[in-house]
Amino acid sequence: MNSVNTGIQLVVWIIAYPFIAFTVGVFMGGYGRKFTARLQRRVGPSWVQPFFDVIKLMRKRTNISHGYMHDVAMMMLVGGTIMTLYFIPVPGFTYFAQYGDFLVIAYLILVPSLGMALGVGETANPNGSIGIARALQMLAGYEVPFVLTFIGMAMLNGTTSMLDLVRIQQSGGMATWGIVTNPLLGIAAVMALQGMMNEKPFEVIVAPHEIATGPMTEMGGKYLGMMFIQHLINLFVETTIYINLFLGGAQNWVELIVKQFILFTLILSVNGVFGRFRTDDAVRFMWKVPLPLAALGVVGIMLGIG
Amino acid sequence: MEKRLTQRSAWDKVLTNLQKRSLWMLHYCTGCGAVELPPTMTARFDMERFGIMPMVTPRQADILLITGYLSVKTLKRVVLIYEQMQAPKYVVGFGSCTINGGMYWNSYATMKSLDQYLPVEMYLAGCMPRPEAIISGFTGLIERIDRGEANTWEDYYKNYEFYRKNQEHLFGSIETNVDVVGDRQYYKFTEVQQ
Amino acid sequence: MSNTLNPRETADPRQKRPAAAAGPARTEEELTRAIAAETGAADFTYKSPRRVEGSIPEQDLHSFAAAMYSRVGFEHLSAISCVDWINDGEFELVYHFWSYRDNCLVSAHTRIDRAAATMATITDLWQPASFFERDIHEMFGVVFAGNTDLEKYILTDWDGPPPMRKDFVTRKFAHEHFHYKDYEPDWDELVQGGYHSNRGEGGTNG
Repeated sequence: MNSVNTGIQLVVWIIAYPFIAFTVGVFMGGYGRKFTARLQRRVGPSWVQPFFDVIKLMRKRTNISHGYMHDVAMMMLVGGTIMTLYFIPVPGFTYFAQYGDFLVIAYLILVPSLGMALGVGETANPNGSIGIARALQMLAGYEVPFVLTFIGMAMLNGTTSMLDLVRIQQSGGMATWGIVTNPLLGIAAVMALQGMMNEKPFEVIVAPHEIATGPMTEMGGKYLGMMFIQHLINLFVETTIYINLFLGGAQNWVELIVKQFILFTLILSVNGVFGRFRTDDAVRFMWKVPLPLAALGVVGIMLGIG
Repeated sequence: MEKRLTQRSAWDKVLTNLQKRSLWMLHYCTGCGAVELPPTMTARFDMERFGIMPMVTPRQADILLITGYLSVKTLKRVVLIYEQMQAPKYVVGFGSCTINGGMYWNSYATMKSLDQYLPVEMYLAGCMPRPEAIISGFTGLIERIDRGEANTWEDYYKNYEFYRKNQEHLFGSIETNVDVVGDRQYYKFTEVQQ
Repeated sequence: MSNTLNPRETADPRQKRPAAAAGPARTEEELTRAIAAETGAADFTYKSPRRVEGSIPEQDLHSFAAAMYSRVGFEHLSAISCVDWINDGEFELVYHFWSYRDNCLVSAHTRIDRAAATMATITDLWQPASFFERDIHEMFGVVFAGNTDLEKYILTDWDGPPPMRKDFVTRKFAHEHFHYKDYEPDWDELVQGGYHSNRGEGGTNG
């Protein structure tokens, strides 16, 4: 990674970075819908369809609020994701990443879920409460293997800072990529990533026809627009976390975006062919397959192999 | 169809152009015309390329599609749903039964003319309209939105007493928990004397 | 031979099936003889493949249905339908019984007086028959004595006369209560040369 920014360059980056992440997220979301449509032998919507969706939602003239907590919780939802965004090193902007390591990121990534739970609980809709209960259950499922993979990487390289991990992988070339030096951890993390991004088969928190889209039941207009913005930025955040840990980071934006789209295509391919697991099946899977793989990887690191 | 001439700012026109590309349909199939929706949504006729997606709750939907006949019992529920939707919203009458009774024109239990009870944006004639007709209707709706004429949702607030009187004539008074009169003042519409 | 698609084969074995429901399938003629022997109703005849029909007097219907269930082996009540014979002053209720063993439908026709419009209920034999009896009560106004749950479920906001009766003219009712759009109100006369006005006010329920 290059040197740290100062002064006016830093201020410009701080202001522009969420917009850049949102734009990349819009294209990723549009790519996702187009890919899924082509998989189903349809034409599919426009490549920037999520942008139109967000504009439409923000232009709704009625806003049904369920109280002050509901409004604050929605801001917490988007704010938490943007905060997480700042601590992830990307080509050209590593100012905050030098101060916050992975533990900070793992903590901040839970704030949006908490915000959503508070906001949806305020709407007093049983479908929403069921959706939130499922979301928090699934959180227990995928978060454990994911944090374990990071602990393994931290032990292997002797540092918890994501910026240092990226620098180590970039200076050594492809042979030092996380997924090459420790394939067990990489595979476990990619399965946990499928859960973290709420793609099928781990899509049960949305479940449109069963619980009327779960947490999004009572959200309409600008509230739903905020949830969509959060979802799109989240696509960027989670793929970048994985790339920085296991796929060698990126030295310029072209490389980052190419890697993100390749990783996302893998996620979408699994999404396209699976149905939906029940919550208990999903948690059971997460603790039966990625968790032992990650544990084996960590044990291997402790014993000095791999 | 009366044209509604409004002065729109350039910013409004640009945003409407973007907004019309994403319309979400409430996946609530009121009558037998709903059988034409699955072919329209799936691979052969693909409605999603226009940005039209089915959504499951009224809070998230823009288009309320009244597919086919509407019995008095269902009309009561549809009014509840319509009032929960968020403006701007478009009611599309689908099939001949919403226009003037259709096949059930002499039935004692279906309503005959949808625009007596809800403000209707567009009718699609047919019994029932094929997916090509549905897509042509939706593209017509998109063009209407683009021209800025698709404002019939305001009629519900302006002529609320008229619609309410007709609804109550059919099924008595219901409590919808939506303060339409209060919302009318919020939007600053003036009541039109019928 | 036993019907492998019969849900009763996999159902709770604690529920007792009538003994007559097990055994080889009978032809329609054998069924008419079995019905005559077990229930005393002698005028059941073969109508078409898998269809047998006959008439029962109103007061004997309940015992007939009980005998059909327990002694002849017809365990499934398919439907109860009602026909309004306004010129005879009677309602005709038709009870349809199905047998899994024989794959045959037996239809028993009864006539009740139109003015009195009461009938004994068979919900003590088949509890879900209440569904059909409520339907007929709502649409024709027939009261099923012994059925305590005759609440409306189809036309919940309806307060007019029972609409399926032939003296309820649905077209007149619709024109009085609903608002039609005002284009060519007599288009049907123009198009069909007075088809509806020639048939008079006999009601267009059919």
